[in-house]
Amino acid sequence: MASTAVSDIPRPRADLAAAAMDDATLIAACRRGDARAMELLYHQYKRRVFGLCHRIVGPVDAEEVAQEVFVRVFRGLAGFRGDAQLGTWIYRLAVNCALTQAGKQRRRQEVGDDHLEEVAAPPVASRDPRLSRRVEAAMAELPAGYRAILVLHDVEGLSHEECAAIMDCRVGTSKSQLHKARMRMRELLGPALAAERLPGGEAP
Amino acid sequence: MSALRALAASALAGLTALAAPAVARADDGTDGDGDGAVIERAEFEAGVVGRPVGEITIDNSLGDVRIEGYDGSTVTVIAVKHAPDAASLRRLRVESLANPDGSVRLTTLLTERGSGGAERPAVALASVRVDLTIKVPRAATISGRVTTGRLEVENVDAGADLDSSTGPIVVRNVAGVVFARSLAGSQRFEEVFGSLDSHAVDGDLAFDSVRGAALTARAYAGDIDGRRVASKQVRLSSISGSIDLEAEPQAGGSVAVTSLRGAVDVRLRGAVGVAVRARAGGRVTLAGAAAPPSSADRWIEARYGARRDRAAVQVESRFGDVSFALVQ
Amino acid sequence: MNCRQLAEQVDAYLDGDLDEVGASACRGHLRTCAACRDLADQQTRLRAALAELPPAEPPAHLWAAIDARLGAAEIADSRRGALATGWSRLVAWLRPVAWPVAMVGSAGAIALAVVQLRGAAPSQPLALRAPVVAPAAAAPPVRLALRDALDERADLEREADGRFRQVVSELLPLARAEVATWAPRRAQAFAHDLERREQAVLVASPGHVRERAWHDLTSYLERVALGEQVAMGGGR
Repeated sequence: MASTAVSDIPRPRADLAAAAMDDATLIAACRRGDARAMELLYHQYKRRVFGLCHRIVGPVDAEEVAQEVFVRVFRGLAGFRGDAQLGTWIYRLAVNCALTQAGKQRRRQEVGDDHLEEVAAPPVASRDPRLSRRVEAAMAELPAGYRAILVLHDVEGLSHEECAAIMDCRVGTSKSQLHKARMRMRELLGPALAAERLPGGEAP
Repeated sequence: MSALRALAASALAGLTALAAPAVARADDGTDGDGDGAVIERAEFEAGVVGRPVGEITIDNSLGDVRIEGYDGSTVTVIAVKHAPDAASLRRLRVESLANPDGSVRLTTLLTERGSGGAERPAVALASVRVDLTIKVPRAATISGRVTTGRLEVENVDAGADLDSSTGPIVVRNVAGVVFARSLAGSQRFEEVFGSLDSHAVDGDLAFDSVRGAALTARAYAGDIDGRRVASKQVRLSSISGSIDLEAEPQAGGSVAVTSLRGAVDVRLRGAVGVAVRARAGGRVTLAGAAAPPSSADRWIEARYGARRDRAAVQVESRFGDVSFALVQ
Repeated sequence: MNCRQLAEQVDAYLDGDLDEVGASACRGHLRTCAACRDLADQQTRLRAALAELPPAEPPAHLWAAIDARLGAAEIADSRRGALATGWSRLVAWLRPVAWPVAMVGSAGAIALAVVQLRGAAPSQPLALRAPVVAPAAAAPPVRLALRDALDERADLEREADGRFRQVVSELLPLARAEVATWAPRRAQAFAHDLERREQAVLVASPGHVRERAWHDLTSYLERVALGEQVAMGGGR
């Protein structure tokens, strides 16, 4: 059930520019308080905003941070001057809110249900659920700033130009931060990544 | 199913089967912990079945951690949760993650009040806690972190890496390389056989029977006290604390003890000859006798005992007094 | 190309950012070096694993919760004049966002938000009531803005940061006085090492990871302040 759901959902792609045509109209309607336009805007950006929050602050706080992001989006639209793409602006708000929250409390990671003495395998659907879980556990170990760039570029598939615009930094900084984040991930995952290599999954 | 998957799956199954939480109401009279408090005790094994335990990481910011090495091969965890009521108890979680590479990670956490759509009352930090007692194979490498709780490690052979914010760190009978860091928590080490590196800001550091390649201990405001220190390279420093050391210098080794503002008192015993240099903004006492006037930038030097393989000794306080003595 | 250079360029190579000459040099090295092939394989696998992480699905009631917060915020705006003095004082006690937090009832009903604040007033808790129009969908999780253990823990983290900051500000002049006696090259290395350690504190997430970075910074400054021989440009 979970696996079909996953394959049906198109992964968000990195074409922030494609949405720009409708943005001006949408923004104008949202500013007028048009409830349908607001909901439309929400649905347009919810997956990636929630995804960013989820990966940066973890599952426990993701919902609260996502709520805060959209509240800020709608309350800030009046002041949105259009000097950035709407998407870039929204994702920048999301990353900032998430990093603020990550700074507030150490990231806690949900592995199973409420009583976690028993680590039950969560119903994760991906090609290799074990590796996904380890990747997520390793991401939780990263400094929040590294986590953000890793999510934007490697999970969400944004370009370095887009990452730099969202993180408000230079493209070179985005690249070097990503390099450090990936190296750190490789260190954290070392044996897990190597183990995956064995065809047929023989234990080393 | 691959062998690796089978291993991981059996580990999970093992965990699930062994977990046996037992909830007791404190007002039953069995586990008194104040009015209406709830205590839950769970005992379980962690690790991948059939894999030797390599590194074990314990992160508990909600209470004490006690780690004891033993001759067995599995990791046994006893988790005791305390909360003022059942709803708050459900926010306390202990997570255990075992990797096929033999590493084990135990984490405690307090979930958000609203997590899982539930509504739970606010709770005072002082009224919730999770204490962990963990039995580990002696050969496991320990990584332990507490915040305000006590972190105790005993009888392990492959070293430990320990962090605490304000809780005390106590290490006893440990071999291998040991690192320890605390902000305000004190640190006490007894019978450490291996290199030891310890840093505290406001906490005091105490060492008794430490023997290894190197002992490095630094405090910012805390005091340092050393007894029966026999590491080859000893370096103790404090900015505003005092340092009191009784050590047995090793042939060809070194002992360097420095405080910026505090007093430094060093007593050495044993057969190894020493070349000493001392300086202080205050008074210098060398081997019981008042030394010629010193200053913070002029060393006074002296040599004692056998000539061969002398140990180099340096005692220094920029603004305080220093004293150096040989004792039997 | 050697292994160190490959490690530096492997990201750019795998991202397709290298020109043909650079890419060819990487391929050449990878043909001959098994260790670097492992590195490149692992990086490729890591990228694939990250790209294939299962997407996080926003919960169905998220929009309703946002809508409720927006409504509550607008009502708060309309009352801001009357509440201005009390409000600004209270906002500091609400967490983590200064929106009045709603207990939302069934569809179409009017619910009351009761926000209790401990310690905001000298003696007893304050109660703030703000009517909120409930959304016509599933209720979002209820949040009460009482001071909770998580807030207390965040306070402890802030206190720890504060103490470390104070220690660093006391150590810096001592260390700088020592560095003033050094040769310019060495002094430059100090500036670099210091910045690297400060940076580490800034990027670290709160809790023990950040405390470790603080320890690294303070013990480094202690060594410099005490005039110990400090290895420059790296090391503990």
